[in-house]
Amino acid sequence: MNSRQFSKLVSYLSKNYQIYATQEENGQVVIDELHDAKKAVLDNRLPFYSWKRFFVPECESLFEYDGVSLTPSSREQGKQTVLLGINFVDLKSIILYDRVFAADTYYQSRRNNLLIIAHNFLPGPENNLAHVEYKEENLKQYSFDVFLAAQENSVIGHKKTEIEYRVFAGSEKGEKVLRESGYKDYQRIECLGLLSEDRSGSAMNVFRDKLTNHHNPKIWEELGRRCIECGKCTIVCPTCFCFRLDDTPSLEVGQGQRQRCWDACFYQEFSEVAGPSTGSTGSPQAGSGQAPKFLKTTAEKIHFWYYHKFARIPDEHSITGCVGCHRCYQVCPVGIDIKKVLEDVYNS
Amino acid sequence: MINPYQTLTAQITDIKDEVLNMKRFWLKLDEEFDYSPGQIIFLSIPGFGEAAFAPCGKSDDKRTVELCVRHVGKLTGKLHAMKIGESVGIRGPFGHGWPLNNFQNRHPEPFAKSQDKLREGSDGRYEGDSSTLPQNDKKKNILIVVGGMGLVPLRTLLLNREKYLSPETKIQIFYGARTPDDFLFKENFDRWKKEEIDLQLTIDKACLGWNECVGVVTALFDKYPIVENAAAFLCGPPIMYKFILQKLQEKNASGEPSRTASGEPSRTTSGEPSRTISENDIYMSLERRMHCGIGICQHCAIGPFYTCKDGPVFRYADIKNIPGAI
Ligand SMILES: Cc1cc2nc3c(=O)[nH]c(=O)nc-3n(C[C@H](O)[C@H](O)[C@H](O)COP(=O)(O)OP(=O)(O)OC[C@H]3O[C@@H](n4cnc5c(N)ncnc54)[C@H](O)[C@@H]3O)c2cc1C
Ligand code: SF4
Ligand code: SF4
Ligand code: FES
Repeated sequence: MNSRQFSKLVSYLSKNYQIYATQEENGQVVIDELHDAKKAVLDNRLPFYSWKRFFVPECESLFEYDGVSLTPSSREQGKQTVLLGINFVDLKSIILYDRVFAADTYYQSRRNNLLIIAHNFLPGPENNLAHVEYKEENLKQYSFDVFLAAQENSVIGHKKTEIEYRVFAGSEKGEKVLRESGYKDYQRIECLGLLSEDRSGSAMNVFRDKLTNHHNPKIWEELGRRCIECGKCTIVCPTCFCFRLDDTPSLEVGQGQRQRCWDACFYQEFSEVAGPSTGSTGSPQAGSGQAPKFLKTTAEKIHFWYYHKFARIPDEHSITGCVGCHRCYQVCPVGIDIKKVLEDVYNS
Repeated sequence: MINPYQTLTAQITDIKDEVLNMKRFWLKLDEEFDYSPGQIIFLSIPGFGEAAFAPCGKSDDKRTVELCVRHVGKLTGKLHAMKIGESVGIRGPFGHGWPLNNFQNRHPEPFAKSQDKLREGSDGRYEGDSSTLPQNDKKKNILIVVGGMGLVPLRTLLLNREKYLSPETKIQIFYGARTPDDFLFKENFDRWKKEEIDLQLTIDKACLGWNECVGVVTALFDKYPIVENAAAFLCGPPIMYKFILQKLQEKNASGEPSRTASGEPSRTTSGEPSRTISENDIYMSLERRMHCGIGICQHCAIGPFYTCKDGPVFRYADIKNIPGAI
């Protein structure tokens, strides 16, 4: 597919679908609704925010309630949204969402309405901490509808030279849009989304082992002294998906929405439970009157964050809970660098 | 695809004041609701949210769920203000309760098999090595140690003893409360004693008319020998666990030989049955903040486990090395 054919695909899509695409704004790449087909850029720059909100929105309504009854909030059926320009590092986070929310009806109906167009540009080493490499033979382990593999020597960086893509359709949906846009020269592959990374001896397994079996409090205490619990890292991180359930009343008495919203393990209430009982606890310290928390210190919180990504997620989902994009470092007001932290964990 | 956040509607059919700040609620459902002792349910009052509670009633009436709820905040405050005939929502049950039937239903292994048992399976995923799992069937009896509200998730087990335990199982209960007025389920005490349950009570401070033990719940260990060949079921605040575990360790260290690593109950040289309890035979119910109930939201995570899904009852051996677990 050459640039002319690419433009044709994008104009076809913009006529028929709502598109969110990577675009350039003030010299930066951002993800935004695409109104002008010419503005879509595919290159190796990492958008500041990830694609997370399209899969796991910041807040979504699960139910409308009226009295005690819960009516599942309506979900738009069949209206497809195109996500255009997911790079090869961010593409990995979609495998994680698909696994975590495999049995979630809200996620599944939203997911069915997404059409994913990904590409093989890799962000520079600073935003590719996991050293992800693009290999065509591994494509079927991922999950996408259309994949555009820029041919070597066709472009590097964001210089606008002539780009040639090899095109893969990863699903029937992908095949359909390619055909309808008039492009036939694609290869159909079956996306299995089966990526599995538990390889013994890999750095990721070393992190897992260190976090699980060789807890080193020094590392976390030191980070705990620096981190200010702002939670920014959890917002930009594509793999942070913790949430809370909240009831939001409407103006009508007894009515409202039960919502699911992003939460962050850095926030105070995350692990708070009801305070010591007014009845006895059979303990000498009963009745101190403070709500007990389980993640009491900043050190425990930041450890919880790393443990989730590098131990709990790999145990549960067979992939690392970090795609290595380095966004967390870019937003951290105190400069906590995951790359450095992982080196310390590795060497501990 | 089922919606795990959807609730069943339940009508409040009875309310009883239990102790100061605690009420019991009988909730009637239109369909059967089956749970195992120690599991949790989520109670929902739209506008006031949801929270986890442990059913505490007789489990043979499958259309009724009995809860014993302490008024601590928004949701529990609203529930306390509700009247017979009003309705609430329920979802669940979630997680794993107490091991039953003389523990032959081995406590289910959570997704991440506990730490030292890890090995890499042929498909590159980790698998538990089931051969190293302790077999608990040698343990016949149960020592229940509870503080404050801790008796709540154990009451179903006691009320439906014949359903969950074999007739030979002896039960001993060490129960601590702040004052005599704070004991829950006093109406059952006589029946339990008649059923030869060895119920021992203690209160925090001496008070008029109290002739039994005074002191925190561990004081009972110094007063009464614990039942032989027992597994321990603990429920209470985290601080209580620390003291009880310490006590059990002291007991294990003093005089009586501890159990062998293979889980064989050791016998004293005189052939006396074992009165020590190893960490494989200690089960405890943990409390964490919960939102989803199905192991996704991460609020209740403890190391590789979720309290809502893998707990709330855990075997001490499985969690003892996790920082912050207890
Ligand atoms: C496994 C388990 C079993 C439980 N069993 C019982 C029981 O049988 N009877 C009983 O009375 N209580 C039980 N609880 C505690 C009960 O869930 C809390 O008291 C309840 O969440 C308080 O809700 P609230 O809206 O009234 O409090 P809020 O107004 O929300 O807050 C009051 C306090 O409760 C804490 N809290 C808020 N949400 C939660 C939550 N989801 N989980 C825990 N704490 C929370 C807050 O941090 C605050 O300190 C159990 C909890 C767990 C985890
Ligand atoms: S932890 Fe940091 S580097 Fe890893 S995926 Fe999240 S933001 Fe990217
Ligand atoms: S962005 Fe930095 S300071 Fe803020 S919570 Fe994350 S690690 Fe802590
Ligand atoms: S309540 Fe356990 S993970 Fe959500």
